[in-house]
Amino acid sequence: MPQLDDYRELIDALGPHARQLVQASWLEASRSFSRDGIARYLRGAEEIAAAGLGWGAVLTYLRELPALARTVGQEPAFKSIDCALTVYSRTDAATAEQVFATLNLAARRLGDPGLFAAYLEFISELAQTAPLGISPILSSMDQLLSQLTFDGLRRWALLGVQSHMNDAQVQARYFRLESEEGRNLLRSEADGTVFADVERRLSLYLRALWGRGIKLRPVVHAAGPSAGRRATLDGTLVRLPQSFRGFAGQSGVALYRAAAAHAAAHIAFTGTRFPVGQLKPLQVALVSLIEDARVERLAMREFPGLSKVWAPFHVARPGGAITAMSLFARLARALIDEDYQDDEPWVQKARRMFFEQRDYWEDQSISRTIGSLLGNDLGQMRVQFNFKTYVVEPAYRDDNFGIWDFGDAAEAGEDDETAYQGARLSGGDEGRQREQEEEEDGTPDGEEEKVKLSAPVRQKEMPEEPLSPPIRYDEWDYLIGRERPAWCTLLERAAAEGDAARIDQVLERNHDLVNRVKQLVRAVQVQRPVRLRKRLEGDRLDLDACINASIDLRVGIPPDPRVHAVVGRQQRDLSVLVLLDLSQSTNDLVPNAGTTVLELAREATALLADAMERIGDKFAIHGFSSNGRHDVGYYRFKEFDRPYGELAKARLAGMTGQLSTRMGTALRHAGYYLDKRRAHKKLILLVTDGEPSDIDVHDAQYLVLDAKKAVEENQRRGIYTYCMSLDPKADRYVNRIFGQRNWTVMDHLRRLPEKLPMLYMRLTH
Amino acid sequence: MNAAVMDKVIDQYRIRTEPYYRAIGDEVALYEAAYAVRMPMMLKGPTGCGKTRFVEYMAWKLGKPLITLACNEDMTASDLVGRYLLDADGTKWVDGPLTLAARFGAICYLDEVVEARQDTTVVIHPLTDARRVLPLEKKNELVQAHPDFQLVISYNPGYQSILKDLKQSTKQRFGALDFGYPSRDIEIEIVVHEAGLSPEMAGKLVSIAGRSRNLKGHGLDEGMSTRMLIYAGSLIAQGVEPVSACQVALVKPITDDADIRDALGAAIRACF
Repeated sequence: MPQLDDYRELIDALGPHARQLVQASWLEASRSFSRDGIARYLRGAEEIAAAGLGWGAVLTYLRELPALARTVGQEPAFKSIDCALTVYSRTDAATAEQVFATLNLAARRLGDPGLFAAYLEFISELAQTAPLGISPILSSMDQLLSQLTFDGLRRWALLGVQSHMNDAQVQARYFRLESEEGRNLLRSEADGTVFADVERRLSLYLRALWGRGIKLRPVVHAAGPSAGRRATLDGTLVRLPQSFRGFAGQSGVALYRAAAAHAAAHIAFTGTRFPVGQLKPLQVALVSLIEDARVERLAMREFPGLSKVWAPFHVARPGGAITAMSLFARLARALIDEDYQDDEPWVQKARRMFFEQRDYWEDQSISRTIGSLLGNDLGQMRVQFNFKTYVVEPAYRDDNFGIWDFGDAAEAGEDDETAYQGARLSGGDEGRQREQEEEEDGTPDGEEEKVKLSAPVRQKEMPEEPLSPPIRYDEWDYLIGRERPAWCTLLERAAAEGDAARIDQVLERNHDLVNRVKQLVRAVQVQRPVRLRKRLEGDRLDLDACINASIDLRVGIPPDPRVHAVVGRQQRDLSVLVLLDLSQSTNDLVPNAGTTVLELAREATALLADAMERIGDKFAIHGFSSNGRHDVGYYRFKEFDRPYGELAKARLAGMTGQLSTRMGTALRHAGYYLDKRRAHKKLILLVTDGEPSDIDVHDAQYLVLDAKKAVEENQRRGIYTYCMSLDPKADRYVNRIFGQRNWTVMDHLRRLPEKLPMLYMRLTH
Repeated sequence: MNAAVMDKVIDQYRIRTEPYYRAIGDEVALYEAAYAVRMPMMLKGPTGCGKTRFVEYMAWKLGKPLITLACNEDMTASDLVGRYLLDADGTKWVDGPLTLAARFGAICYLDEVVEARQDTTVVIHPLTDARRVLPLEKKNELVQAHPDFQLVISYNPGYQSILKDLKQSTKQRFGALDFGYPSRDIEIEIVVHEAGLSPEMAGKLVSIAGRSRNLKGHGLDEGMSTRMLIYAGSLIAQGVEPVSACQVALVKPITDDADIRDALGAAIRACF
């Protein structure tokens, strides 16, 4: 057995008190580690002490690690040092100590070295995104891991980080499981599927089916058991619960898919909202139920396979107590499932009425007629119905709030309103506020909102000094059909510098992606001039091949005709100007990504710049933001003839978003730079998150058409413009500005950093 | 080269049986009119929508031989016009496909012409204006195009590469026909004919293709083509279970993105 004295040097290096500390855990340590392991164990302690974590942390480390090494093995155990140091770098020594203190707990719960390593990574990541959340989450780790799988834990934590990005207090309460929301989500997370995981595929699914973009957003629940959660419709926006538990033997994903398909059916077939008028709550519920069945039937006419998506959730059976809830569920099933038999006369009657109208299903008024008739019958049957506790069944159907027009709230009556909100379960001020925030880029009013937002910005001082004398550009006015001469004033400003290391971190963080790009780069990379021998043709003869051919000729056999040589040429001659829209809206948070548009654009640009640098293409990175026509700001982060080095990176890191988007003027200025370049192909790659707009322009068409004009002017000078739009509604105008096939709309912002370099490769391949 | 040998060479390019082609609009009549004045033609459209089949059909209908050449990046001008080869007696000139077509009066079809480098495509210029000649510099010969000769190129404007586009001077030498995916009923008819499916099943495949075309520009570069539908249909006609046939022939080839695969898979299940 290793003796303490064998490691005297290492222990002495630890400092004066170390011997006592090590002594206490020596017996266990000497049994847990190999000989080398002990040395590393001691060196680890030294590392922790040297980093300044204090004796408390060192002691905890020395105490905890031997047991940990026995549970998960030496290697993963030592990884915890890095993790704690990362945490320490973002928080304080006490939190780092807490990391050590909870190691054994986590290891026991996870029970797998791989998972444990992932856990350490997760803690390190969390330290980056939510440093103040680390301590709270560690303190509730025992409870968390007793209920969640590791994936569940990660999802739960991610939800917390995303929901309370800006409020550390609430976030801490969430992580400490003191908030209702934290506990609820924990409960649902125990076996649920989370919205963020399925969002992209669901929205693609709906787009594929219906050929239009249907927006999906999460509903934030303040309270209530997960069984009561329902989707809700909001114009053409569909809100889905943040998590769904599997149901009736179906997975959470299936439930999400059914809910999304059902909501889309409403959007496709419920043309106008039903006015509530004099309908009683019972009738409202029934009309909704018939309407649900009607839109599903219509959708199934187009896509018969949808019945397999919905039917499994209809599990009502005949018999049992006659309550409104059970009758509703049975009727819902009877209308969807043709093989279903029900002996209840009311259900049979309803079914008959519904199917008699099968030729008129397109007309949504039948729902109202049938629904109100059935409501009367049910009233006569003296079936009790409580609207306040009513929840739409089955679980995939939306709360039907979105298909009713309540008129003025007063007219609709207090009762209905509250009842619906009960069923909607989206209550809680905190939740609703958040929803509204999220909406900013979503609903049609969002746009107005933005205009309003940018208006007061005008007063803001522009802090940077202009770099250049003011440059004036014409602007195209489509109303008068000519240019307004020297209308816009462009000022080049010095770009603020940030920390260049941030850009390198981006590359490190996206290591996999960088590698993938590297491989692509290799395919397009400039080849050194090489002589390619034995060619069928070329600009000179390949002497060796000629001699061989002559020999063959003399011998009388057919010679190899490949007697030429070619010198391979440099194939890419390209100048690219990446033009970034730096308007105020780029500071918006991207839903479910926990970061801003600008941040994503920065990451994407960093990756793209890395790729271009590797390829050897000549490139520049510029940006713009405007504050009325007299003040179009233009920033040069990287210039054509300068290396892509620290300065360019620092400027990229220091890039901020403010003010508006006067695209045309910026495009003209970018065109000016490219025009000076000598290159075979010239390209402006514009990355923008919205349509052209400025505070002094109120006609939405004006700047769009001016931008189009600028694109055309550049085109005439042999400069192509390609637009990467991050605005999901961009289809409306990008085509006009850039022309067909000269643009891409990102379907998912989170993937921008991955997509931009790929797009570039494809464009220039 | 004597006439008999000539005939033999060109004979192999004749199309003997009628290729199946279902006209979508008036493209057949337009093409015939264009051929009457030997106007060079450009066929534009996404991949797999029937451009090549159309040319075959027209060649058959007009009774002219058809010489097809798939263009690629590494193609040089000599691959088009011909080159000297060495043989035991010295050098021997061999006509390229373009020269062959010009000499013998065939329709020369350059498929996906943007794939060829621009310095290659310029050799077609003298053939595509009033001169209708093809200079063979190396051979010091000027080939006067046969009266029946016509040049047809195809071109997929969906390629999003600024480096791959035709020069204006090339574009403006051609008349152009736009090809798109056929309307639903016609596409069903085509799939029924080519894959030997029931109209009902073909209808489902066509709606699936419609679903994928909805995703164009939103994760997919190109929707599913009619050709893919025919492949899927042929698999189904072989007795393959429809959903797996669609996975094999429709979903897996066009994307590697897991979310899109999932969405398409679900959309396919919604159609059956």
